Amino acid sequence: MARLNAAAHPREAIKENLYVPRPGATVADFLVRRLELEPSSSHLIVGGVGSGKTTQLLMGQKQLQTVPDVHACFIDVSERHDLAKLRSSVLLVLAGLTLGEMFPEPVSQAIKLARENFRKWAHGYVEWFDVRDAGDEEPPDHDDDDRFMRPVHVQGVLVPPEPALRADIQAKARQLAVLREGLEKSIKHVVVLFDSLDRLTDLKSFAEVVDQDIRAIKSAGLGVVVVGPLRTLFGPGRTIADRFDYLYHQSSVDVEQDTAGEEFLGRILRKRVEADLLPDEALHRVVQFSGGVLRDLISLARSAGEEAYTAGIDRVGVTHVESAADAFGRSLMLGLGPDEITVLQRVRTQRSFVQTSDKDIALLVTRRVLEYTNGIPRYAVHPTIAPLLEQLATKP
Amino acid sequence: MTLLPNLLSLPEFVFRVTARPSKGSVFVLVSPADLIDRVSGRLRSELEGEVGVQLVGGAHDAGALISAIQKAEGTRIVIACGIESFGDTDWQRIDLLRSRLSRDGAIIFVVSPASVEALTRYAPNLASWVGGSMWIVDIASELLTPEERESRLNALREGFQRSDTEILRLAAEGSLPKEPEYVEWLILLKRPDLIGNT
Repeated sequence: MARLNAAAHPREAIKENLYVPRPGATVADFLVRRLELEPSSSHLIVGGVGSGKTTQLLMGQKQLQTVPDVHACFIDVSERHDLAKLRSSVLLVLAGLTLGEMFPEPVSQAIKLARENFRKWAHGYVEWFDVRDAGDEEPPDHDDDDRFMRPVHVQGVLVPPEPALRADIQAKARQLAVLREGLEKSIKHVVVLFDSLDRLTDLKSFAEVVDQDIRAIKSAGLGVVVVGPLRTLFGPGRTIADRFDYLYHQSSVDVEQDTAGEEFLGRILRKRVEADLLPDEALHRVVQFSGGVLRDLISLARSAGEEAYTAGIDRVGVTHVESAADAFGRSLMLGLGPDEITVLQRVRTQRSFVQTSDKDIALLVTRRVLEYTNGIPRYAVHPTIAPLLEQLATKP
Repeated sequence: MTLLPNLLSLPEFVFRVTARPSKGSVFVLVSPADLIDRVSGRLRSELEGEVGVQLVGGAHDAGALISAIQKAEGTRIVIACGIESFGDTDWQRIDLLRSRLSRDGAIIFVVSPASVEALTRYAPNLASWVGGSMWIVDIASELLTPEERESRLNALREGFQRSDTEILRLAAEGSLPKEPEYVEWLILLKRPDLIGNT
């Protein structure tokens, strides 16, 4: 049961050889194939909470390390920066700091300077200005008739479809290019993988970093992969997703209509728990209740084990799984308002789901509604809340 | 009808916490707001006999809570309480910084019904770590003396101008209002089986 830790970093599961690839090509496979062909392309991975995005990012990194001349750097942005204060430059500076650490000593003067610049941009610095210069206006020119003239800028009507990179971003991108070129002798291509940006609820700050940082990193000749918010799939968010060269949706695994999906989740659990402790029948129920959400699969199996242990039984039974699913569903139902319940009831009974509001999208992000994208896309409520919704429907 | 986490006595909760390999575990225990300090204190004293435990109470905002939890590195279990003043933005911030809560030990959040709703709504990434490890503490079974229990019941009877019989009847019919006080009322009457009907 110690291997059933829903809060463990996926890095640990991969290290312990607990990773099981999805049937067919995975997001990691696509990433590697495309980055091999286009080393400085940009990629966005989205998906619901606990769907395995970080795992795919890490597997992508692992596979890229086996490609000659490629180095992939994994950066968990939330570990190095307060995501509530995300703004343009942050990803660029994190990329610069990471690349700067990749040089063996001694380094050239240009590399030294680039590394120093990124440290300054990351941690701040003091600059001295001559106060007499501040606020001084340019003296007016006078023309041939001795009239005093001032320049007035009249804006052109054409607006470039892609706004120019800001001057400060361009400066950072140039320094990033210096670092990349410095590495070129030993590593031809560098790819940076940014994790944790999927937690952002403020699409404005995400749009800002995509608009400036991602383009700047690409312009410096690096490949870039970002785990971003699921909201970028819908409404105005879609224009942000479109800025990337490639988009991947890590959806839930279909355990209801796809036998391969069900077997895949079964294999994940079997790698972590022996049949003596979690017999096949109970395992099958855990898989069904998980709805194909990887973290929920682990969490439910662990809770079912605890239910059995608490009852003094050393083997998980179907009733223990059902108790665990009931507790899980109750947690998922917390905080929902009447309008959200109405939407969930419609998804449960009619399998229809149209994302018209932020609240609807939140139901997907928080996996109360699950989307399956194998074949024709379909929606379902999380299997642990389906019986609770049914109870609600039959009571006043 | 209100759907709430299941009821669990404090000793049962302690048993579950100590039984689980603690690395990275996050639990939530829901208590009436005015009993949070007492529940947290009891929890600490019951856990202290088993494992290293530290109470992190009264953080003024999300940042302060996270750094207090980080400072408790090396302590197997951290009990986070006294965070009832946290608003939506605090929970959102905790969610954004969830990676910083990743630790070798466990975290137990002791919160009110209102706060647990905010947690699930505004911190979905943290909630996914919690999963089903969320319970309402059974205050009637352990925490309150018979006199305290009677006193709280009296306060509820007077506050809502209703009798115990009426509450039990409404709960059985499934028409009890959804306020947390009614849930507490059923717990105090030792009828948690009717909570699912409220």
